[in-house]
Amino acid sequence: MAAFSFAEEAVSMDSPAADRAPADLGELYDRHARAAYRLLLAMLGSPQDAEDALSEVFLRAARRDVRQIRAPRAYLLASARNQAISMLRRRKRETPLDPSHYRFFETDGMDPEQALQAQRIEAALRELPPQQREVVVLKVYEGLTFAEIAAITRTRPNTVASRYRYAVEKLRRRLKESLP
Amino acid sequence: MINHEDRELEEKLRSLPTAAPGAGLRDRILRAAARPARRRWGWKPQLAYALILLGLVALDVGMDRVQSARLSELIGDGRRAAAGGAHSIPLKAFRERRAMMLAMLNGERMR
Repeated sequence: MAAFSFAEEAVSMDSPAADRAPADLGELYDRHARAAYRLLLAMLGSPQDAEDALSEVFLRAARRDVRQIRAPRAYLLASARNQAISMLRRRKRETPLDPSHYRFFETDGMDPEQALQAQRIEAALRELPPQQREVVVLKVYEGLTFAEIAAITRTRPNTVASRYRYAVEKLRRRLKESLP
Repeated sequence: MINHEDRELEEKLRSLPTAAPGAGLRDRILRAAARPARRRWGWKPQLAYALILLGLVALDVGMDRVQSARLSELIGDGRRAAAGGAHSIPLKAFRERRAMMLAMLNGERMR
């Protein structure tokens, strides 16, 4: 719980990570489930695990008064991250995910060229360590600053920035290699 | 800090739709949240209470034994007195001493 409060405290109320408190759990889900799920999926790679983790995140949120959550998005992202880390630890002890099962994009309905590009990016993403993947998702999709990501991941902004640098370089290199 | 190539990569990532949680997940979560919370550690306080009670009983029994042992030490063992022997005292004297010691222990004034 301390990590979430820390994230809530540290994320500026003017930033996209902060927004008004939700009226109930349904509203919290409607507004932030997609972002939390994206982070979980990037870190876990399996839609089933990401859904299980998302349920756990929201059920944990339901145990407190959701109207009292000051920065719901930051709270949920921090909670999702913690849940993903604990699942990754468990997975390390039990059965590791088959890398070929890693999914991040919604490929249904994509044209073949887009689907191919999605596959290439997925392959490149799954080669990144989870700490780099989470930074990429929080930066690229959630539009958070390095300082805000640092607050959520409880690391220093410089560390976040260098993780992002490494991740982007690796992704770019990997994508260039995979071009036909 | 972010160069043109980085922006291009970010745009490429953003241009592809990411997977969304299953359609039924929202309802499942809301239903589960509406159920009365199962007290995951509900048995712990009960176990702690039982252990405390057990501890108090054990303490009471222990104190009683200590008191009895000290009493026996002070006034001698009745069986030993009755059985006789080199260190024994007559049974009548033993009973008198025992009554006197008990009276002292109970705070009564000696006659």
